[in-house]
Amino acid sequence: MANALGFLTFSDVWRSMGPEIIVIGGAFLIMLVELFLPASLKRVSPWLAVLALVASATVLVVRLGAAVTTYSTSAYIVDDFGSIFKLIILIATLLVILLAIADRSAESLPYEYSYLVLFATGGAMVISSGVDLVTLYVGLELLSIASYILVALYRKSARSAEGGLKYLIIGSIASACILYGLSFLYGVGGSTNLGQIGVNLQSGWTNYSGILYLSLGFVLVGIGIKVSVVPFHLWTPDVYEGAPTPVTAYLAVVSKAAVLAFFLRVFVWIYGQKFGQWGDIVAWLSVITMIVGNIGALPQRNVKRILAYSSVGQVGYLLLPFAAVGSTTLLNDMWQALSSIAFYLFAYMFMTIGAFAVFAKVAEARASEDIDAFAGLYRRSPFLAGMMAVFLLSLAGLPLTAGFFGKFMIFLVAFNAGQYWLGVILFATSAIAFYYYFGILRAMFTREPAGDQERVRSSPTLVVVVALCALGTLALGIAPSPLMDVLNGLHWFG
Amino acid sequence: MALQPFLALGAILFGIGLYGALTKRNLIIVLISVEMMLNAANINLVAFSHFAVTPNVDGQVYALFNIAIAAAEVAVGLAILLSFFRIRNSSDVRDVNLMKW
Repeated sequence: MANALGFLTFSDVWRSMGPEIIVIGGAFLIMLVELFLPASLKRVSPWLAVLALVASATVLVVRLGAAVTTYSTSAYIVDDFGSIFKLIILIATLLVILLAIADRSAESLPYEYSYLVLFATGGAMVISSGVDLVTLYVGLELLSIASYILVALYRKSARSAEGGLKYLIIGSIASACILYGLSFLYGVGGSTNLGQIGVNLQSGWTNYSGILYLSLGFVLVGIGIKVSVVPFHLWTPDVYEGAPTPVTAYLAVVSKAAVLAFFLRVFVWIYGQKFGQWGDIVAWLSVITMIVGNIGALPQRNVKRILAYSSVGQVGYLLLPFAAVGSTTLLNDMWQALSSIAFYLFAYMFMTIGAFAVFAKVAEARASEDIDAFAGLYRRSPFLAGMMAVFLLSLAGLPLTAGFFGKFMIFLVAFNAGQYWLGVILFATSAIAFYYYFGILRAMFTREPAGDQERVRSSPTLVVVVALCALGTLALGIAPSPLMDVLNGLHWFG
Repeated sequence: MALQPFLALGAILFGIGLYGALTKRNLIIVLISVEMMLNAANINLVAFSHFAVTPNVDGQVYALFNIAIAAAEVAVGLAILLSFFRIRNSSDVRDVNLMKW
C-alpha cells in the first residue's frame, strides 16, 4: 500500500500489462487508421490486428514462467494462471481474425470487426489477470459490450440484429447479477481487492455467511449465463446462429475461456475456501450441462445450431475437473484440475474454430446452413471434408485427437478425486455426442451432393486457418507431452 | 440511519428491474429495467462503503466505474435496437422471434 499511484512508472505498467497495452493500443490505432484509409485499402486493417496479436503473444510467451508480480496496489497480478489463459485467448483471436479475413462471402463483415475484436480481447486479457473486483468487472464489460456489437455487425441482416439484441439483453442481465453479487462480497469483505477480502473473511465470516451465500448465488447465476451452463443456456443457439460465423467462433472460444478465468479466479480465491458444498453445486451444473447440451443437439438440422449445442456440452466438460476437485485443500489436486482445464481449452479452441471455419466455407458455397449443405462434401472438396472429419471426431473424443486426450485428463482428475460417477457421465454424454457428429460425417462421405457438383474452392487464408487448427488438434492428440510438460511446470497462482 | 434500509432499497430496485426485464414487451422498457438492476448494485456499493466496519472509499469508486460502464452498455443497446427497428419496424419483444429452439 506504501507505493500508491504516484510511484507507478511507465516501465512498471509495461512490465505488468505489456501484452494488454499492445492489444488495446493497437485497437485504438487501427480504429484511427481505418477511418482515414480509402475504401480500397481498408482490407489491410485486419492484418494490422494480426500484427498486434502476434506482437502481444510474443511479449507474453517471453515472460511465461517469470516470478509473480503485482501492480497498482494489487489490482493486477501477473501469474502463470493469467498468462496461460491470455495465451489461449490470443491464439484463438488470431485464428478468428484469419477466419474472418478468409470469409469473403457475399455479405462480408464490415472492417470495423478488426478493432472491435481487439477491444474484446483486451477485456478478456484484463479478466485473466485482474485480482480486484473493479478490474475484473471492467474487463468483463469491455469483453461483453464489444461482443454485443460484433454479433449485430451485419446491419442488413434481421438474424444478426436479432441475435445481437438477444445477446445484449441476456448478457446485461447476467452482468447486473454478477455486479449485484460482487457488491455483497464487497460489503462483507470490506475491500475490492480479492486478496484483502480473503484475509478479512478469515476472521468471523460466519457472522455474514447468509450474505456470502447470496453473493455466491448471484455470481454463479451471472457466470452461468455468460458461459451458457444449462439452466441458463437458452440464448446460446439463437445468438450463435444469428452472429456472423467468425464471431460465433469467437464467442464460443474466447468469451467462454475468459469468463471461465473469472469464475476460477473468484471461486478459488474467495468462495472456495468458505463453502465445502460449492463443489457439489458446480458438479450438478456440470452434469446437467453435459446431458442437456448434448441431447439438445440431436434434433437440430442447422449445423451452426448443432455446433452451438455441442459448445454448451463442452462447457460441462470444462467445469467437471473443478467440480470433482471442489473444496480440496490439496494443492496438487487443484493444480492437476487447472492443467486439465487449460489443456482441454487448447484442444477445444483448435477443434471448435476449425469446425466453424469449414462450416463458414461450406455454408457460403451452398448459401445454406442446413446439414444438407454438407452432402457429398467429400466429392466437392476432399480437403475440407477430411479436415472437418478430424474436428468432429476430436469433438466427439476419439483417440489420437486432442479431444480424446483432453477428456482423458478430465476423467483422471475425477477418478483421482473419487468422483467416479462424473467420469461415467462424461463418457456417456460423449457417446450421445458421437451420434449427431456422425450425422454430419455421414452427409459428407456417403450421401450424393444435392444440386451442382461444382468443387468448393477455398482461399489460401482459409486453408491456412483450417490446416493450423487440424495440426493443433492432431498434435495435441498424438504428442500431448510438450504441452503437458509446460502445464505441469506452471505455478498457477504463484 | 442504518445500513438495512439502503440494502432493502437496492433489493427492491433489483427485483423490479429483473421483473421488468423478463416480462415487459417493449424493448426500451427492458433496457431501462436492466439499468435499474445495475443501479441497485450501485446503491449497495455506496451503502456498504459508508456503513462498513472500516468505512472506505473503494465502493464509491466502484460505483463511478459502473455508471460509466452502464452508459456504454445502454448506448450500444440502443444502437442495436435501432438497427433491429429499421429491419423489423418494431420494438416489441414478441417480434424477436426469427430463431427458436
